[in-house]
This record gives sequence, structure tokens and C-alpha cells, in this order.
Amino acid sequence: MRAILTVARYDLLRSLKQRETFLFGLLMPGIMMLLLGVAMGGSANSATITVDVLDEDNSALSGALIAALRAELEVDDSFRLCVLGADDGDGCAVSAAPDRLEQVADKRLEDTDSFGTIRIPAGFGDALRAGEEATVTYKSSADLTAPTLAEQKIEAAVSRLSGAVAIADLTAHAAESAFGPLDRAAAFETVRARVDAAWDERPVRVRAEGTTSQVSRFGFNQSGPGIATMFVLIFTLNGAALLIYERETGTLQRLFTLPVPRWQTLAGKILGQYVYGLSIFAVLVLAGALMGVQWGDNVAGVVLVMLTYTLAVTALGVALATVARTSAQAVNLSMLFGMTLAPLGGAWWPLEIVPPFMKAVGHLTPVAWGMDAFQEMMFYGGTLADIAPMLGVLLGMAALFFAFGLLRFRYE
Amino acid sequence: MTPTTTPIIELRGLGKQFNPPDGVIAVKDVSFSIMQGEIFSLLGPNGAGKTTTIGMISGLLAPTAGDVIVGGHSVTRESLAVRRLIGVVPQELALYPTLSARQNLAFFGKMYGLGGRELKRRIGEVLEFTELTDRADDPIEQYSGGMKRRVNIGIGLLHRPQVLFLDEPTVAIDPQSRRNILDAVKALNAEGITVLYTTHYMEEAQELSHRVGIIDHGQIIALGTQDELTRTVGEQDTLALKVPDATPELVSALGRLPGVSACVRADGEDGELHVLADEGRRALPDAIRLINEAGLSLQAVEVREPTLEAVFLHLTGRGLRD
Ligand SMILES: Nc1ncnc2c1ncn2[C@@H]1O[C@H](COP(=O)(O)OP(=O)(O)O)[C@@H](O)[C@H]1O
Ligand SMILES: [Mg+2]
Repeated sequence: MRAILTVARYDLLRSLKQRETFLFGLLMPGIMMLLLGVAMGGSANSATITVDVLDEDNSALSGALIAALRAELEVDDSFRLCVLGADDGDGCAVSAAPDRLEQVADKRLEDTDSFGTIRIPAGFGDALRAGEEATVTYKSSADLTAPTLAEQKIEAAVSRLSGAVAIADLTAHAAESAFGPLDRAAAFETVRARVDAAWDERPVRVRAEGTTSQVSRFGFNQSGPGIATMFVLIFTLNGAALLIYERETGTLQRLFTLPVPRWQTLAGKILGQYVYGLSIFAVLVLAGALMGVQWGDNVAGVVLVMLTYTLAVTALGVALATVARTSAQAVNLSMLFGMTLAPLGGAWWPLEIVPPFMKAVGHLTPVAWGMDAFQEMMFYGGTLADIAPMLGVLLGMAALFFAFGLLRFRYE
Repeated sequence: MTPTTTPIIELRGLGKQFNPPDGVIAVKDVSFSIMQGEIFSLLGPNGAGKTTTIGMISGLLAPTAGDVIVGGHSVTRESLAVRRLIGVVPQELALYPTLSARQNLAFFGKMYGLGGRELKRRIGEVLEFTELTDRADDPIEQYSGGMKRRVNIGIGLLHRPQVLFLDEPTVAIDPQSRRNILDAVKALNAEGITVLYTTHYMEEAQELSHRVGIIDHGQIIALGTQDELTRTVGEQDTLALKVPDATPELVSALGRLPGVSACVRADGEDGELHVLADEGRRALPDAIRLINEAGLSLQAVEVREPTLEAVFLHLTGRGLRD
């Protein structure tokens, strides 16, 4: 048994002595993570969606609507409201002549500085007060799921305001008919403010969960796990080349003449490769976290995915070692496998954007199951029970590849 | 040391065919014993089956026929027990080039089951013996060919094996390193280690061994002490002719002379031809005539006692290096 650890330890030592390990194992994936992450929308924080507000009414009620919009939209970091032409300390100061603000808003939409414009037309407050129809328009760049979410929230804000206005109006009417003439405007405003405040303490709330997650699915949150799984795949598959190289140079044969059972020598080689893959994985996960990848709160889950995924690809490496004839061939095959299995399995872009057939094909690779498990935890707060199926598939793949590799391995 | 008459290794009808049933038969029905304390050389040309034989004795290759008994243990049934008794020095440099000599020795020492102070002491002794103490901590890839060979040998010595297998340890190294290795082999044998040495250099077999087995095409074609072997050649002499730039035509013409059984180029020395003749002096005038006709010069002539090479020539009609 001690022999297994000895083989693993010295294999690891040799791997770490290789300068390529640092270059290709850590530096390159780090840079790719960064580039791909920025290209796909940057850090999770800058994925905040800006919605412009064009207030042409400038009444107490339009102000109330803006406040309601803020309350609805700015519950987390996913949306930010920008009131154009007002330096109201909301972190965005866009100023222009009042008659040019609409142009500015359109320009911002075009440049994707904002994802939508909420326009409160002049006369909004009066119409609302008069119990007439008051319209608020929402213009958006049709893109992704965020705008529809914004629409829902805007609707909620508007109905909140109109509800308050209706109640205030009714109450003011009722009060006047009961107590005689009073300052209707003041009564209205008092009641409206009360109702609005009561809204915040409403007994029934619907919290958005599931698909309307607030964690960005792009940027570093895609590139982090994607690049990590890809490089762990390439590096662990390369273990096949190392094993064949040892047979070519005769060190493997020499190991088999030592007073150590062959299976122990082989187990040590596999263990060394496994720990090597895990170390690269761990460093990449940490590097990703520093760049802004939100791996989620399920630390045990992340560790389990790393353990099972690396086991599956290590086993794939052993299987590859029995297929490749020379170490040079094995290097090429591991590169080829890495560069095809990674995109197939969703390491380069989310599998949600590929056709169902390709999604199914992708799930023949360990990469897809590893990515699924990571995303389950990152975007949906997945528990261990939620990722258990993915872990199970990865373990099954590991068993399959090991069986294939160990049955076919040539000792002579 | 003086060999005993107790066999420590017994090959019994050993055979190996690669990729049966149609593959190469590399070793065919080989049976002989190696006595405790002797240096036994397996002499034969490239591809004769030396490495395959060692591979089977050391448990690396499974025999397709027969068995080997080492120190009372069957290699096919008690492979681990056999591997504890032997030290194997493979023909190829089987080392980890990015590690230092000390790290290589430490790794293999641990694999032999050594540890702690014992391991440290053995590493020190082996480094001393192979004269690598000064460079022990440099990566092996920075060593010369001869130094790498010495590390390769040192690894096989770590666990004080009873039997040491050296498979062509002097191929492709300088004369100085070769000298060191031959002396080391004698020194190890003087300490009581039995040595199985393979080579295709007849001088090495001649210098080192108590007994020699000549192997060709996977079969032992002659076996015994040097005296016993050279006696089989009978009265034949070897005529050593120094002819620089000798052509292949000249070599074959000399081999066809009456009373001559073979002619080959000698290994090592440049331009030396060895002619195996029933009576060397008789064949000399004809040989000189042929050399003159070819327009070449004969720079030296010597008549020698039969060598192991002559034995090989006599048995196969070929030189060891052909
Ligand atoms: N792994 C192998 N597969 C097939 N043939 C082999 C293998 N190893 C050696 N041989 C063949 O077996 C014969 C003996 O080889 P070997 O034992 O290496 O000879 P030597 O060591 O005397 O030069 C050669 O014909 C060689 O080509
Ligand atoms: Mg050989």
C-alpha cells in the first residue's frame, strides 16, 4: 500500500517540476477565463441592468411612481433605475435640455447603456387624479430575459401606484361626504402616502425564485466553470501520454520488476494523476472566485463535483492510454478530446443556447454533467440532493472508463 | 569470487512467443543454470533474445513455455518472491530525467521497501560506489551518458540483491566509463553477488565471466567456460589483419579462401579483419595476395588463439555484430 502513495507522490513531484504545468495548467486557463469572462459580459456585478426613466410630468405622482419603481426594481443588484435629467444621487447623472432627453434616452438604448426606457408623459399625475386613463410607456431593446422581468416589475409598480391613488380618491370622497368640505388635495396625498407605505408591509408577498435568478449566467459565471473543466480535462487526459511515455522509456517496465504488485504501481500512477488534476482544479476555482465567479454557497457540493468530475476524466485518461499507440499520439488525442469535448459539453457557451440534439450529445461527455452540477448550485441554489444525479452520472462514467482502461491495459 | 556449485537460477525449457500464435518466437526452449557466486554472460548479437530472457527471469514478461526458478521460487507462480531477490538493470536508461540521482534512488529505494535511516545509508553507499556523490543533487538530464548509466546500475543495487541482471550496460558509452562499469561488476561479484550479464561484445564476456552462454535466434548454441568453448573450435586460429578501408567484397573473398571458415570485421578497432582459418599461417599468403589485388594495404598481421568470437563464427558463420 505504501508503494501506491510513493508512486503517486513522485509522479506529482515530477509534474510540479515541469514548467509547462504552470504555463499551461494555471496561467493559460487563468487568462482564458478572464478574456472569455469579459467578452461574455464581464463580472457578475456589471451585469446589473440599467433602466432609464424619462419623467415629463414632474408631478408628485410621477415622483411617487418613480419611488415605487425603485422599490420594485432595485431590490437587488440586478436592476438600476436612472432618472434622466435629474441629479438625484442615483449614481447616474444624465443631463440634457428637457426637450432633448427623449433623444438621449433612445441613444442610450441603442448603445446598450440602458436596457429600457420608462416614459412618464406630461399630464400623468393629473389624469391619474382625475380618474382618467394614464399611460406609462416602456420601450426596451428586446434582449434576453431581463426586459420581460423588468416589464413585470414596472407593471407591479404602476398597479401599486394606481391602487393607492384609487383608494386615496375614494377615501377623500367618502371623507368629504361624511364630514363636509375639506382640503381634498391634502387628504388625498395623506391617504395615498399611507397606502403606499402599507404596501411595504403587505402580508402576502410573492418572491421570485427559480428562473428569475439574480446571478448572471454569462460573464465569469460561464467562463469560470467552463475553462476550469476544460483544462482539468486536457491535463488529466494528458496523463495517458505520460503513462505511455513511461512504457516507451522503460521506466514502467522497471517498476514492474520491483517487488511491488503491478496493480499497486498502476493505482499509484492513477492516484498521482487524480491528485494532479484536483490541484489544478482547486487553483482554477480559487482564481475564478477572485475574478468574480459566483460558485455559490454549497461548498461541499462544489468539492464533490470537483472530486467526481476529476475522477471521471482521470478514468477517461486511463482508457485513452490503452487506445493511443505512442505518447505523441496520446498528446494529440488528449488535445483533440479536450478541444472537442469541452465545447460539446458546454464549457465554452451554455448548452441552453444549442439545439436539443447537440445538448443530448453534449451529455455523453463528463463536461456537461460537471457544468450542469456547477450551474445548478450557482444559479438555482442547488443542494446536494439536487446535484446528486449529476454526481451519480460522473461516478458511473468513471467506473465505465476505468473498467475499459484496466481490462485493456498492456503490461508487457 | 569463486563460484559455488549451487544453482541460484534455473531456466527450464523457457520459451517466449510475442503475440501468439503468429508472432516472433524470441526465445526457444532455453535451459541452463546459473550458480551462486558466478558471473554468467549471455553473449549474442542484437535480436538474439537476451533482453527477452532477462525480462522473463525478472517477472516482467510471462513465459509462453517453461519456467524459471530463482532462489527456490518459481517466477510464474511466486513472482513477488523472485523480484525481492533480484536487482534489474535494464538495457534502456530507465530513469526519471528531471529528478536528481538522489531523488531517483530515493524513489526506487522506497519501492524496494527501504525507508528511514536504512534508505539514507544505502543511497549514500550507492552514490559512493557509482562515484556520483558530487553531482547527486543535479537533475539527471544534465549528466553525461556514462553517469546516467551508473545511476541506472545503482538503482539495481539499492536493496542488496542476491542476483544482479545487467542487460548490455556498456552500449554507447566511452571507453573510460565502460572500464569503470566492468570493474564495478567484478567488485560486486567479489562481494558475493551473482551476476547475469548480457552483451554482444565478446571481449567483455571474455574478461568478466566464469561461464558464457552463446545465444542466437532465441536458442543457446553453446555454453561453458571459455576454455570449454574455445576448444570446440578445434585447431582453428584467428588471423587478425589490419586493412584500413577494407571493402565488403574483400571481406567476402577472404571468407571463401580454401581452409578459411569465415571472415568478419572486428568490433572496436578500425579496419581490423578477423579470419578464422584451419591453419592461420597457411592461409596468410592467399590473404595477402587478395589484399594486394584489391589495391589495399596490409598494415599488421597477427595470429591469435581462438576467441569467443571465433566460437560464434565457427557455429554460425556470422560475426557477432552482423
Ligand atoms: N515486445 C515485443 N514484441 C514483439 N517482438 C519483440 C518484442 N520484444 C522483442 N521482440 C523480438 O524478439 C526478438 C528478441 O529480442 P531481444 O530479446 O530484445 O533481443 P536482444 O536483447 O538479444 O537484442 C527480436 O526479434 C525482437 O524483434
Ligand atoms: Mg537487448
